[in-house]
Amino acid sequence: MNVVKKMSGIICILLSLAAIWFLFTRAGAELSAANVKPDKKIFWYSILPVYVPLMFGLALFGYYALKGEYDSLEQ
Amino acid sequence: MPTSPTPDAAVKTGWGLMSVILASSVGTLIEWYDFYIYGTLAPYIAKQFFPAENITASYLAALGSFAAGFIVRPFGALFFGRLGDLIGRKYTFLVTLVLMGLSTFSIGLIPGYAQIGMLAPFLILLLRLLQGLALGGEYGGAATYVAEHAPANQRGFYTGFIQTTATVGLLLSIMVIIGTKTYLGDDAFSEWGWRVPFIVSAIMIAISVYIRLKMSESPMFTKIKHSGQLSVNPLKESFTKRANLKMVLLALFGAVAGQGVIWYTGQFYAMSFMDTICKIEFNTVRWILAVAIIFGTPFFLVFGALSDKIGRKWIMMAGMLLGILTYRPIYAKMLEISSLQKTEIAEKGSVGSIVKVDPQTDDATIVETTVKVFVDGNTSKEVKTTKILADKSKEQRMPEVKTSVWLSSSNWWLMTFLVFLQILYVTMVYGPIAAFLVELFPTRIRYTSMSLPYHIGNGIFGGLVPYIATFLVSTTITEQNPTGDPLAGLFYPMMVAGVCLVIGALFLPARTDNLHSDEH
Repeated sequence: MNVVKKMSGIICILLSLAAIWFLFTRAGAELSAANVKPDKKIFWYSILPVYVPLMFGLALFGYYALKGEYDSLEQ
Repeated sequence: MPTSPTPDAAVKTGWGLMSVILASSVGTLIEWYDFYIYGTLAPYIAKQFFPAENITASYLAALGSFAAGFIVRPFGALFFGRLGDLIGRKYTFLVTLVLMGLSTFSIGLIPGYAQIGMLAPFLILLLRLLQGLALGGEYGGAATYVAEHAPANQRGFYTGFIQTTATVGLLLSIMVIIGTKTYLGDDAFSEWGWRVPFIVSAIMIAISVYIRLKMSESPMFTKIKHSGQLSVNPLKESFTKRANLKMVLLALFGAVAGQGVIWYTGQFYAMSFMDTICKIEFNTVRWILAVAIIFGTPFFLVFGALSDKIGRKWIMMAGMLLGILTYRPIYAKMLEISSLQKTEIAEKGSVGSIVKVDPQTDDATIVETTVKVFVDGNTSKEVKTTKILADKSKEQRMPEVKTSVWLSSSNWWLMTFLVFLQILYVTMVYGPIAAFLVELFPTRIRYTSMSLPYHIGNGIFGGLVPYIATFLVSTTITEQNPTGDPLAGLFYPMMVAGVCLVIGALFLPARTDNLHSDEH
């Protein structure tokens, strides 16, 4: 079980990095387009500052899982 | 006068405990009511405060400030959570109640954009942020307060009462809105009647403040206060000590984020979907949601009590799994029920038009109304308003088309059942979660530690569901497919619930009621 936890820790780190990459590339593509609609600007300027730190949180969770910090929690 | 508990005050039982629960729950319910009337009335607020020719753009602007209310919730959790761990639960959630009441009442009084210009949307946004701050401090306090009064082996059941308040607050907001709209009529409600539910809140807040003033402090908080075990810096202790921070992260990514998206999909996104995609008539949507909530609410207590017996974890995980597996078929069926692509009974339909001419400008307004009746008993009404400007040098506006669908009796009940199913999932993930969060953290930093993951998970991951889902649907709109993929919005809650389900299933302990059992 602890091996599975460690592997899922790695997956969480990769997932968070992929999510951050996706958010920035998508936002960059949409905001750099000509005639960007205001609702798109509102959307991305709200989403980026909120979700990027949360994805770092997910990466930290993955790191703790990888280090075995959760192994002692009883199932 | 409030009674002062002794340091060794035992947990309450019987009527004493019920009075604690009722007193806390009423205040929390009113706070949720205050918070949700804004979301429910977003289209009206958009018209009054966010000027735009395009109604969708103004709707998104209102949803944006709706989101602002959610995004600040974690900051309220930090600010008031810290206070609650330093000075006590009772006075902290009294302050949050007053702050919420004043903000809500003030929203009802702000003049519109037409009267005071850009100051109006600015003030609305500010008050919405204050509402978010207040709510951020309220829930953790109420859940902690009740849990610290309840016996450990019934904590899930008793905190289940606090868990009903969010949904019942939504129900109350819907009932007040339907009542006001029915009494005043559509035009008056749209013009000024939408303010009434905000102003009415002042009376409810006054009653709640009176009740809360009579409450005593939590016995567990009093106990650690008298023994000098209070945390000196709850924020530092909660989020810089690895042993606690890892539990905060586990609570967020293993439970609360998934709970948040299930909660908001089952209630707010279901409402938004019926409004904007199914085009079901305003009051009909609210009645469907209200009836589904009434049938669903007792299950918060059922699953809360069940979690005392078999543990919190698997009930919450089952709720997430059901959401992931069934959302797409449920929403596809909702679309099918309300679809207008059905055989029409031509002889029952009608077409009418009215032409009005403004005597001052000679502008003409043509209102064409088309009523269609379908073989399944549904009825639709399309109102097309075309304004023809007398001055031909000015650019003519596009006609406005508003479609409303009324469901037949059998379709109405089927739609209500589909919403009820979603609310049942809500009760599975939300019923046990207050007890779960309370049990994850020690008393000295409980208010701070549990409030932050709750408001990030519920407020941000969950609260942004309607906003992100609406955006996702808009990204699928093309010239060939002008309506886009109406189910595209479900991708977000299903993905978040999926990640949370895997993490929760792997990492959460099966039972949490014994994690800090030495304190109780």
